[in-house]
Amino acid sequence: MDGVLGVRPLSSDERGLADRVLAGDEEAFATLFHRYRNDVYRAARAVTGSHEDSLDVVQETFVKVHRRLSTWSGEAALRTWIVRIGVRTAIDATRKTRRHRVDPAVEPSHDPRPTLERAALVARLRELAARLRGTQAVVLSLRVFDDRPTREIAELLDITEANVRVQLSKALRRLKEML
Amino acid sequence: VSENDDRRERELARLLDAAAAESRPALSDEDAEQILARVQARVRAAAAPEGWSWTAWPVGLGLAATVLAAVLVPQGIPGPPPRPTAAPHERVARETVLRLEVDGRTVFIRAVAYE
Repeated sequence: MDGVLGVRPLSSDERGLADRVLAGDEEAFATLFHRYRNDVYRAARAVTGSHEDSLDVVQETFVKVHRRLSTWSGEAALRTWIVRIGVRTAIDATRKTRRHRVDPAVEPSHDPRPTLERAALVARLRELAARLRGTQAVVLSLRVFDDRPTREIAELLDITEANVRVQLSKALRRLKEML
Repeated sequence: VSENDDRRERELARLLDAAAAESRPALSDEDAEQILARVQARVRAAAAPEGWSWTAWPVGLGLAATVLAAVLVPQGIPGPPPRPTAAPHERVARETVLRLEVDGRTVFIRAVAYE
C-alpha cells in the first residue's frame, strides 16, 4: 500500500529514525514525536471532538508507537503507521467514554461574530456526528473535521476507497435525516 | 416533502461549509512537551526491570537480610566456640583454633592453655 501521508512508503530517513529509537535513543524519539504529533492530534481531535480527550489519545498513541515500533515493517509510511494507531486509539477512547465532548476551536479574529457563529455551527455538526455509529462516524469525522482525502482515510482505516465513499454517503444521508 | 428536503440539504451544506472553513487545530508546544515528558517517563518505567527501582533497593536489601537471618540464626553461624572462661588469676598462655571437616560438616575446636 502506498503511503499517501508520507512522501514514500519507506524512506531511509524514516528507517534511520526508527532504528535510532529502537536502539534507545531518547532524542530520536523526541524527534519522531514532534514530527508526527500534530498529525495524530488532528486525527484524534476529529474523531473525539475534544481537545482534552485528544491529549490523552496522543499520549497513549506514542506509548504504543514506542512499544510496537519494532513491528513497523515499512510497508506503510511511518507517518501512516503512526496516525493509524492514533485513529484506533481515538476510536477506542470514544467507545470507552461513549460520548463526544464538543469544544470547537475558536480562532482569533478582529470581529468575533463570524467565528462564533461558525463555531456554533461546527459544534452542532459535531453533536449530530456523535450520534452516528461505527465506521460511518469515523469516516465522516476524518473527512469533514480533519479534511483528509478519501484515499488517506481508506489507508488509515484499512478499508477500500469505494467503502469510504459508501460510508460517507450513508453518514451524510443520516445527518440530513437528523436535521 | 421536497421543500423540507431542500431545507435539510441547505442546512447540512451550511454545517459542512462551517466545518471546512474552520482552521485545523494544532497541538501547542506546551501541551506537546508535557505529553512527551509523560510518554518518556512511561517508556522508562516499562524498560526498568520489573519490580525493581532505585527506591525498591533498600526494601529488597532489608528483605534479603531478614531471610538470611531467618535461615542462619537457628542453625548457628559457623565459627569457633567461645573461649572458656578463665579464672581471674589465670592468663592465656597459648590458644589454637582448629577447623575440621567431619562428614561434610565444619567443626571448630578451640584449645586454650592457661598459666
